[in-house]
Amino acid sequence: MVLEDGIPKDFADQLLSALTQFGLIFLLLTLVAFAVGFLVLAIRYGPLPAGDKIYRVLLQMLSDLGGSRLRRIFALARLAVLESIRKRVMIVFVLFSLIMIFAGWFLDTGGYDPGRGYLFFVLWTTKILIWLLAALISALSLPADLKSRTIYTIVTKPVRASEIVLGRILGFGMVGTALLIAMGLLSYLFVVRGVDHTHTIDPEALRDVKGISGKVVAKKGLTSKDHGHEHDVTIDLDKATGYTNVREGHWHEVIANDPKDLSKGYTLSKPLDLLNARVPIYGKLQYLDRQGHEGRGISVGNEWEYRRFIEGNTLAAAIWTFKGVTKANFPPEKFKDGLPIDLSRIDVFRTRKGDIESTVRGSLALRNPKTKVTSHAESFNSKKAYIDHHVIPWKLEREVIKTQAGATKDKSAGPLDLWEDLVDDEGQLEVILKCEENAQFFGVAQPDMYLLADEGSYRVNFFKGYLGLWMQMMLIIGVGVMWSTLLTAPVALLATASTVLLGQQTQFINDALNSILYPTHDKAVWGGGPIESLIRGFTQDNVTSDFKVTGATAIQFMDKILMWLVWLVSKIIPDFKKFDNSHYLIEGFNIPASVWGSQLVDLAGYMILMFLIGYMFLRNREVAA
Amino acid sequence: MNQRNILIRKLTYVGGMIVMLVCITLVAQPSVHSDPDGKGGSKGGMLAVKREEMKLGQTSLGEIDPASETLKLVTLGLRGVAATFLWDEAIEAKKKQNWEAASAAAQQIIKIEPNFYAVWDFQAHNLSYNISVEFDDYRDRYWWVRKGIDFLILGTRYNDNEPRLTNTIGWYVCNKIGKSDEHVQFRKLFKKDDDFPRNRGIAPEDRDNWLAGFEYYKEAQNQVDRGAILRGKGESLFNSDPPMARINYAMAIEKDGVFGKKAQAAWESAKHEWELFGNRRIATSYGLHVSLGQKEELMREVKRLEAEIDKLVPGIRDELREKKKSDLSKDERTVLAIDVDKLDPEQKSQIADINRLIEPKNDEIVATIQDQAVRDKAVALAGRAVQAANIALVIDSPRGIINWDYWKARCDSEPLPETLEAREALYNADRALQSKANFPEAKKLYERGFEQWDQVLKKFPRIREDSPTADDLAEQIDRYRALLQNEYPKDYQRVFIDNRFVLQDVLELANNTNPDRARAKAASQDKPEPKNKADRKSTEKPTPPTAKTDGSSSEKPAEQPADKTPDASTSKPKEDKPKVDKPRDDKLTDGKLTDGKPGEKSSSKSPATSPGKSDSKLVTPGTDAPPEKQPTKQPEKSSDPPADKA
Repeated sequence: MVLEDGIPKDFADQLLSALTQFGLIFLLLTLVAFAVGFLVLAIRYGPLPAGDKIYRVLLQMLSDLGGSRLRRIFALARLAVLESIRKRVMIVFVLFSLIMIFAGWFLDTGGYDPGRGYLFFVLWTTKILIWLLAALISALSLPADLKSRTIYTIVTKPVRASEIVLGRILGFGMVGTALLIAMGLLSYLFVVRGVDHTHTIDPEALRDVKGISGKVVAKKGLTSKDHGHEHDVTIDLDKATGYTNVREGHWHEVIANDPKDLSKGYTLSKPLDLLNARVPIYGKLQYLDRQGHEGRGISVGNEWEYRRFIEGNTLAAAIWTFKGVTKANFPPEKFKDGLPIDLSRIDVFRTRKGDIESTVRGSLALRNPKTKVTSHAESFNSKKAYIDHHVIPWKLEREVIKTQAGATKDKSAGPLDLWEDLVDDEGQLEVILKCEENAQFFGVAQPDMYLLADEGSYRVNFFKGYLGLWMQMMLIIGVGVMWSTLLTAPVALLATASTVLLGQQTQFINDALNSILYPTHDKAVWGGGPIESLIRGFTQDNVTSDFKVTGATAIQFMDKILMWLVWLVSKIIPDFKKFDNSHYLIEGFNIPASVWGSQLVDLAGYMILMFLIGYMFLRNREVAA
Repeated sequence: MNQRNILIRKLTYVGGMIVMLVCITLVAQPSVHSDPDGKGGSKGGMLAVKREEMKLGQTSLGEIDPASETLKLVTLGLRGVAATFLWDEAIEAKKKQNWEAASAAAQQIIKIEPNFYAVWDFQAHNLSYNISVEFDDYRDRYWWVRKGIDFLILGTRYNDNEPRLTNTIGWYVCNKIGKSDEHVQFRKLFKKDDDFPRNRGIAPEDRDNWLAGFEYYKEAQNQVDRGAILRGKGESLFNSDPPMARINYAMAIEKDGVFGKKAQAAWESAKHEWELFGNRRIATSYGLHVSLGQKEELMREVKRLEAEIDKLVPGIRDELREKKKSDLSKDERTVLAIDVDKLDPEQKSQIADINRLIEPKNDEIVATIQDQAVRDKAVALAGRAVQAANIALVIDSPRGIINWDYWKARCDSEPLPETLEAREALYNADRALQSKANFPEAKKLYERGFEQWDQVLKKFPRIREDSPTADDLAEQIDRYRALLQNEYPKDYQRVFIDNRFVLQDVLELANNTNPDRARAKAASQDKPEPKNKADRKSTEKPTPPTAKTDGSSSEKPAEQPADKTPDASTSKPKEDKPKVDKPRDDKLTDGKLTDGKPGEKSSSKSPATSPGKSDSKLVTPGTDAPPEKQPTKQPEKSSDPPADKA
């Protein structure tokens, strides 16, 4: 799986990072709010009365917040729910159901990896619909009440502004959650049923495969064509079991109906490796260059430099050091065959055609980080497009013993025991990946190899994937309610949409900020700040040329000031992509607690912030005047 | 305001409304389709008529996709913006190797821009070429190639009048499947591909990507014939695609080892298609519509008209020619006097210029005529001759682009039994050498194949002059040479060293036109000479499968000496070089190949002195002249003299 931001940290680290970020934002925003408030009030009333007013507002706020009662909040939330139902929000679910029903018409069921395709589709459709719904109900509700003056029926009751804001957020959140649960269930059924299939094998059509002795040892052939594809199948006659090749992201196990009489046919399992929740243990990657020295890996000129490459048939290697290789994590009774290692879609770069019929060969060897005892390198053929499973047996052949002084051929010892010889006393293990073909390259990034510690529940993982969507929905509701306390309906909707749009582009905003505030030669965004780029637009000047107009320095200075303001705003706007866990789900990886846990903390932080801002807006609005 | 004013105002409004209604009706009245029996219906207003004329209506563009129409409406006129975002997403997804997302983005773009050719073209290329190549397993690559083709096929459903799309499908099916590095594997997968639309109902053994591509090319041609406008591609290239697909099919099955009647039928079909192509009227950049096959007829017409002029004033042409000859400089006259067969390339070029110079022009002949009536007649004839010659000249340009003469000659020569036999012999020779290591059989087949080829090339010299055939043959000649070098050194000496190899000019052409080949050859010649036979064998390239290592000496000719002298074995590459590069006298190549008997070659290097007996005829006789003085073989005069003249 591609993890461009690196391997997720531990939960504690994530939590600390999330709390720190939230604390800083809160502090910053409070300071700015008070500073601006004081400035405005000072101009209107003078500095002392301004201080007095702010003090009173603070007291009032604390009193409001302290006096809020759950009963009233839930009553208001119930009102919001009823209002949403009256506005026929259920139509979104009907629309979603209709899309699911007719999805088969336009979905590419014979896709390269249909599981990914289905998930991508349901997540995308759910996201779009739920975002639209959240923005509409949250941004339009309060302004409509204000306009139609139905708000009087509420504000004339003994309710506080904080309760109104919180009640709305909660109520709309409940409606959205209910819808999202329904959509999630429907999506789950859609995905699971969509990819579910099996094939049949005609035993007569299988051809014999003879071993060295001339005896028939296996049978090979093709499965039936179902779901738009067929598989090559290989059956081991001794074991009366077999397997298919990987097609469209999955494979099937083959079991003889009667192991004693193979003519009775075979049964194929459901698709495997299609809907997974792998629990990986990631290692730390170190590249060796062609001389065997530590290096950074080679760039083969790809625009996307996520993976670095190692040259084949040289001393170049990619070495992962794994921690936590213990019998507690990998109990031999559960991992009977050995240690499961996955290579996840490693890249292959050929500088010559080589053998077209075969993929590039590589090898895997295990090494003790301390004693440098190394196992015999096992050769394999790369699988660039798929996750390549390897199971390293507990007993391995010994290759060489490398001492600090250098390598010496070990002639005495027998086979190696993985636990005894290769894992050090701290539970560390090194796995060495090499490309074995001359002038061919393997490209790898740190998350491309992992120890498959467990296979989590796909259902739970699906739920966790939708949890990300739920968090995004709650953020939009928070943003929508916040703006609705200040602005009229269309403007609030526009402001909500803009906030969400900006929240989607935080990467670009950060790149632009860095490029303008700290210009370097390899900046990500060219063309200068807002004023400079506007002038370049009018003068049709290209973005990389020097900015040569009268007053260029002054313009760039003003741009920097503007960009500092953008920086401030960018810190408040939630990064919506950060809450997106769909790539875990689509790639078939368990969403770790550290990820969704820290997201929940972030969400809580943003919700508190938006609630406070919304409260302040509504508090200072003369609703019943 | 009184009642009268109100009435006037209301009447004005009504009048205005009536005028506007009439205008709107005239301009924007929608068209109504007639009944199936042709009754009823109307053309509609001005806009509807124009829309129909210019094929701008959605219904006239192709199928209407409800999902697409909905999306176009939903984007509220911002579909350009949406397409830009999606385009960016597709590129980003491709960059980050997220192939499913790239493919999904492409599918979304075409929903909002279904009638924009560039979208289909670019994204299909992305799928079939750029994404497919990212995969290491050729089966995955094929899958993505097919995905791009399917994408284009979908495009044709929404774009009835876009022949470029149909033509592009043909290109992908033909060239991506049939000519990429993995073409052998791709072609096999294509035969098994039951899902490919044009494969349905065809038995796997009869399926072929070139034939399927041909169908698409033809369909594109039919679209143009039905009135679709061809944009962005020259008519000559566009119309050459169907016959070229047929030619490539014939070549491909021969590469697969299919010969005999099937190959002959394939070449006959290719020839037929080429003739259809030759008869087709195509637009040229000069604004003329011509048939490419018309040139020969035009040049015959020029000759006939010139003969008629000559009849009016007999002998004048010769007189003028002689006079012009006498005006030539001394050097020019000297060159003109040299025997044609002894001309070097520079002189040949010079003599062509001289011949053009001394050839009397029709107007010069006309100028000599005194009788006004005869002169008028001659002027009319000369005018017609010039017109015909000019059209022939116009035809030359597109013919040059598609290498007309070469492919025409291929279509004419390939269905002949001797060509088929030659190709089959060489194919079987390669198999005998590479699969079975059957050296005597391979040698015999190579020799038979090269002899047949020589016969064919003599009949069709145009093929001899072009590199594709030379490239094909050069590889086989290399294998044959390596075979002789390693297994039959005496024969090697006789065929390649003592004599000029019968297809030496073909080999030289391949070396001259293929820089990689020439470099490889130079590199192999730069290698130090091995000291003994064993070393030599390990360094020489290409080498046939070393069956000798398993002691299969029974396959060697019995006459071959047990121990070859170092001289005989090591001196060959060095000696080969000057002989290959030097021009030689090919005067005698017009005759039959020699049978290689010693008595017919007066050299002391004659194989007569060699104990190795061979029935090889692959030498050009009469090679006793010193190599340095032997000029390169004069290309035989084209069978298409008017073309040369034009």
